Order: sequence, then C-alpha cells, then structure tokens
Amino acid sequence: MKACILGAGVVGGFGCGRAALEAAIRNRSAPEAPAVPALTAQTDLLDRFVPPRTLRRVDHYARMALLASRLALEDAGMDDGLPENTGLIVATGMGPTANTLDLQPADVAAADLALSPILFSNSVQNAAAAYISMLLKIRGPCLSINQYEMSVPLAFQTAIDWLEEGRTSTVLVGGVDCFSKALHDASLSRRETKNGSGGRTPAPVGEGSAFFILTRSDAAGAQYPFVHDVHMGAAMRPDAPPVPNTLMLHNSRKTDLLDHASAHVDLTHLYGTFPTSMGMDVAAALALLRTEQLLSMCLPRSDGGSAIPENPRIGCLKQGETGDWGMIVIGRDGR
Amino acid sequence: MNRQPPVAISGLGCICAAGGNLPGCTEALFTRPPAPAPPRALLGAQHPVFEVPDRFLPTIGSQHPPMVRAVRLALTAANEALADAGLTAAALRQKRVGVVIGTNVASGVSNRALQRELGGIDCSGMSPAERFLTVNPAQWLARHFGLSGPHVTIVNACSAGGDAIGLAGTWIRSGRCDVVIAGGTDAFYEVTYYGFIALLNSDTEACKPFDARRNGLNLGEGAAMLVLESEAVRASRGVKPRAFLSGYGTAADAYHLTAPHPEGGGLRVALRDALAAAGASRADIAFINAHGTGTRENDRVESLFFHDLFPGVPFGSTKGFTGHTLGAAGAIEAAFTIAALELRKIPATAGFEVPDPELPAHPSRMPTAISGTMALSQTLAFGGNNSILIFSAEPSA
Amino acid sequence: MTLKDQLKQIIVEDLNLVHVLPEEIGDDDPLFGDRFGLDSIDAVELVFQLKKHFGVVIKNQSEGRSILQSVNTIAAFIEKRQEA
Repeated sequence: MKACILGAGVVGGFGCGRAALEAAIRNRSAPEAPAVPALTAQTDLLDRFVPPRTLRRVDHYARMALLASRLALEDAGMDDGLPENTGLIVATGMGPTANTLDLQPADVAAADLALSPILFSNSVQNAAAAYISMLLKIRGPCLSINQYEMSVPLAFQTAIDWLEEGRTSTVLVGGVDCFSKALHDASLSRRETKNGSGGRTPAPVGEGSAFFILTRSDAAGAQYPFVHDVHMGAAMRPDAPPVPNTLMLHNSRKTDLLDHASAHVDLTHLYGTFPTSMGMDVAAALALLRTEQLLSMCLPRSDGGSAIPENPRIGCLKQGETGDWGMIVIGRDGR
Repeated sequence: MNRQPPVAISGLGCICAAGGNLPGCTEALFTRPPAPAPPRALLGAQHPVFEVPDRFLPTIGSQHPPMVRAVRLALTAANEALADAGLTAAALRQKRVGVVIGTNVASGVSNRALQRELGGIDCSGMSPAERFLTVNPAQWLARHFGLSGPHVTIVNACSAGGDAIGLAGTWIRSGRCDVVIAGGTDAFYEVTYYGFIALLNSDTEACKPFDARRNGLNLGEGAAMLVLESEAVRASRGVKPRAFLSGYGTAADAYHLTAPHPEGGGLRVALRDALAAAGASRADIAFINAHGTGTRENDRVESLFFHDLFPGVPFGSTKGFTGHTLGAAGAIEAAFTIAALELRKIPATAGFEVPDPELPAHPSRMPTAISGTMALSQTLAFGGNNSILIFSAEPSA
Repeated sequence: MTLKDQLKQIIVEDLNLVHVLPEEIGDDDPLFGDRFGLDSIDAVELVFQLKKHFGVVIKNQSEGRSILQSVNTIAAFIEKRQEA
C-alpha cells in the first residue's frame, strides 16, 4: 500500500503555505539573513482560521504546528473538517523548547505554587498535539514523537503503519520545532567552526512546521502524490559525518538511494535547519514534483539532458549529528 | 479496526518506589505499600512523592554519554526484562531489535536539572545533539545494547508508556522487528512537581484513588520494560511467553487541555478499538487496572466508565504504591497487570478507604481473586489522550 | 488604581483575554461561564497570579470555586487576608 498525500501545510521563515514555499524555491529567494542567524516564522495567518480568543493560551511553538495543520486541511480541500477517526502524529526534535528551557530558577522557586499553570501546561511535550486535536476536532489516535532529527521519518513510518493496520483511514502527520537559545548557540558555534576551517557557511538555523494529510491509496484517487517508502538506519560508525538535508532525484526501484541519486539539492537556505526540517524537505519535494520547471531547475540531470524521468521520485535524506539517518521517498502520482 | 494476531511478551522488568524489580514490586503490592514523603532534593517542599530508594538502583560505572536518572531507571528495567526473556546482549545483536520508550521529562530537561543530574557538569554549552544523546532513553538503550533496529521516544505525557507498548506490537506484527524492548521511564523532576501543585492537582497527603476524600495525585518515578517477540523468534528459542499483548486502542478527547472528557469520550473509542484488535468482548475482561490518579476528575470519569461498561468487573489503581510515574505509568501498570494475571489476584487499591457516594463504581479495599485470562490496563493523559492495552494469559481469548 | 481595577487588569492581561477590556468586567459579573469564556485552567492560573501579585494562597479547587466567582468575591478574599 502507498500512502497518498492529500494536502500539505507549511509555516517557516519563507512565509506560510504551499504557494509561499513554491515561490521561494522558484525565486531562489532566501529570506534576508537576520542579525541573529535564524529564520523565524510568523503565525498571524492563524487568526484567519481560529478565533483569537480560543488561541489565547497557545504559545508560538503550538501556533506554528496548528497553522501548518490547518493549512494542510485547506490544501486538501478539507476545510469542513477531517474524517471521523483521523489520527494525528506530531514529530518534534526539541519539544516546546522555549518553554522547557526557560522554566528556570526564576520560575521555579523553592516554594509551593511558584509556577504558572499555563506555562507548565505549554511545556508538556504533547502540548502541540493537544491543541491541534482540540481545535481541529481530531478524535482518533494521537501520538507525539521526540527523536531529534529522526522524528519526522519515524512519524511518517508510524502514519503508514496505522493506515496499514487499519487503525485509522486518515492521518495528519508533521513536524514542528521552535527557535531557542540552545539552537542559536549551536548555530553560532557551528558557524565559527566552519569559518575557521574555511568550510562553506552552513544554512542558518530555522524554525517552523510542516504537516501533511495522508490516506490509504486505495481510498484516494491515483492523481495524488504518495509516500513511496521510509528508510532509517542507525549510525554504522559514531564518527560518520552528517549529511545535510538533501533532496535527491532517483528513478530507481532500488532502495539504496545514496548510490543511485542522479542529482541532489539542499534547500535549507529557504527555511533554515532545525531537527524536524525534513518535514520542509518533503513539502519542497511535493512542490518540485508538481512543477516540472522547478524540478529541472533544482534537480538537473547529471548528463545534461532535460527530459524529466517518467516516474520521478524524490528522496528526502538527512544523516543527523548523532549519525542516525532517515529518508522519506515521495512519488509524483500513482498513475 | 480488525482483529490482530496477539504478540508474545517474553520478559518483564520494573523499578519504582514499590520495588527494585518486578518480583519485589509484586510482593509490595500485596503486603506493604510504601509511604510517600516530601522530595529529598527540595528543601521545604511539602507535597509527598514516591521516589525510588537509592538502594534499588544498581551501581553503574561511569558512562559516555553520561547517564541521567530516567535513563538509569530505564536501563535497570530493561536489563531485568532481557534477563527474564533469556536474551543476552550477544543474542540481541543478531536480531532486528527495536526500542520504543515513553517518557514525560526525560526528553526535555532544562540546563539546571541536567547539571544537577550529571553531578555538576556545566551543561550550558552542550549542543542540542549532545543533550539529546544524554537524555533520550530510546537512543541511549539502542546504543548501549548495540541495536540496529528502529528506536523512538514517545512523549504522550501520562499515556506515553502504554502507547509505547502499543506501537511495539505494531512493529512486531508488521515484521519490522524480531524483538522490541518497549516501556516507559520517568524520574522525579521539580518542574513537573511544581507544575502539578500549581494545577491544584497534587495531594498534600498520600493519594487516595477513588476515595471520597481524594484531593490529587502524588508524583512518582520509575520505569518498566516489556520484551515483545515475533512468533518465529519465540518459537525458535523455545521460550514460553509470560503473556500476550492482544489489543491496543488509543483515541483523543478533543475536549480540554487538562481535564478528561466528562463522559469518557476518547476512552470509549480506545476501548472499542482495543477490543476489536483483541477479537474480544467486554465480557472477556477479568479485571481492569485503572489509571486512578486520585484527582477528583480523573477518578470520577473512570468510575462512570466502569459502572457503565464493566458492571461488576473488579478494578483497582496501583498509584497508591507507586505514585503517578507519568510516562512510565502505562508500562509499570502493564507489568503489574501481567503479574496479576499470573497470580490470579489483584491487589487492594492503596489509599482507598471511604467510598465516594458520588461515584457509581468502587475499587476493592482487599486483594481480590480473579478468574479469566484477559485483563485491561488504561491510561488517561494530559491533552485528552486515552490509551487502553489488553493482555491475555493465552494466545487467544 | 483600586484593588478591583487591578484585579480586572490581571484577569485580562495574565489570562490574555484578547476579546475583553478590563473596564468591561463588572464587579459582580460571573467570571466563569460563556460570557468571558474562562475555564478550569484560567482558575488555577488566577490562583497562581493572585499569589504572585498579592501573596494570598488558595489551597484547593473547592476553595477556589467560591473565591473566584467575581471580582467582588476575589477582592473581599484579598482584603480579608490582608487585614488578618
């Protein structure tokens, strides 16, 4: 079974929604490099979908996830709501970091009743899933995954498992991470290291959220893009060098994609790097598969030919800092 | 949800305030409930908690990356479960072994907590990746045992341990893994402690699940691990399973951030799916391990649910022995549920003395003999998550 | 600023009531219910904010329910504690 992708919603440094991401790819328009090297996201658009009074306790982290989820519904033509028993999987690398790391001695004095209940509630690791479930009325299985840079492929794999075992017929699955001092410091130290060694400047740190609506292919039309496969592996060597977010074109049924990639591109200058940025890669892959001009621009054939492979597939690969690697392979359509 | 084949559970491990291993915990459940006390590390704090005594924790030499308490608890329970299953480290490396662990605090501890846990090492300069490698229990166990299979940490708040076991069943049935080490772990963490106090959900005395005088939960800490095996691996090793995971259902209330749905909305859906997966009916359930935290709302919703759907079926809460161990609770109580199936009796609900006239169903004040081979354990979590696991002593109902 | 005005400001700002102005809250208006949309999390947050701003402690949910009915009942509780 293939899992069809009915819709996608994205929120990042480039803006909100599929069209904004496509425009950024087309124009190669990296957002202005800010003083703090981070591509942060705006979520004002959320007010269009949800009355502000129901969002009054929702923090920036959950707002990004909520907006990306709602945009995915819109993209899928499901503005009226998701099917009964829809499942939800939220992947995060850092969790509600701004909260969790900010819950510091000033907030937690050695006296009872010294912590804001709202701040505490928002620091719980499944807070984003809770808000999405409540506001989008998702009453199926809900799962929050925290496995750093492997969170997104694990979330996709679990979504496919749920569809295959009949736990649910539709899954809203995606990733979210928010900018924090920890990410900022990590970015700075990495930048200094690279500059010192004359290496290329890494993409700035980012934040954002990408969500997708997946359903069983036998329940949807053949015109939808689909998740062909999800691969993951543990580091074979602890010192294996990281592979940055990479989109690779391949037209092979072989799963050993590293050897069969004919072209590859790193688009993180558009949305920055963060633990769950592979979700952005998947959204970018969908944009490339939708528009042949973007595909041939970003992933030109190594032999200089201009023909698009008949059945193009894009692998979204990342080998993280811990050595573990994951790849989500997206196909154009089931025709 | 269609009927699914049951998955064999060949090993169990558990550590919490009640005991340093599962036999020790089980003995305590029927003889001597531990008393909660104010947290050792917080001067002047008054709300009691169930901490794991240091004597329960085996000595573990220095490790790299360094080991936080939640990981140490998880490793202790995993070692017990693997030994119970008769699986050596060498045997594990020849199989596709996955790790699924639920936790609440282990994956997001602040600088301050991390620094204290690591014996004063300055953590402020730790990169997110180093931080992750230090605190993430699934990653830690996969590396420690040299496993190449998938590993994931589930952060579904208080239902995470149960959800981890449910997902492990999927990994076995789909053929992705031969063996999965699945469970939950959580260590005492001051932010959670003060958080529950601020939510007015923490009792100033020992918790009293389902009791008329109940006034909140006591936090606890601990870990439990289950070893799940494919039928092919189990048969080739010739081991007898301790029990089977027969069904797992989970569903959200979509109702409120901190309060359960008053009629148990998601809980009913979770039950429907768990029973369908097990190919069982409500009449097959011999007893129920309730979430039973001791908060007004949780216990009210569960009592209504039991009265409505399981009239006369014995149920109980073990939170009066362990405290609420958050991400570990679903796993610890899964281990207790299997132990009770083996013993054919369930413990008294510690802390329950005065039946609440507003509640329609009550747990037992005495240990209760049970008949039947199938039992249910449920968890209700922050954000409206409800998860139900069904275990059986036999491969089919 | 009177104590009641201060309370209204705390309710609007600390609970982030984007749809209400402090002066729209009447002294006797029920705080919980449809009008202002407050719920049980707002109740515990108010308990926290009252402790932070005025040093008064509300120990449990049932005590909170009677004290947090309106601006008047909160003000009366604070004044009584401050006299004691």
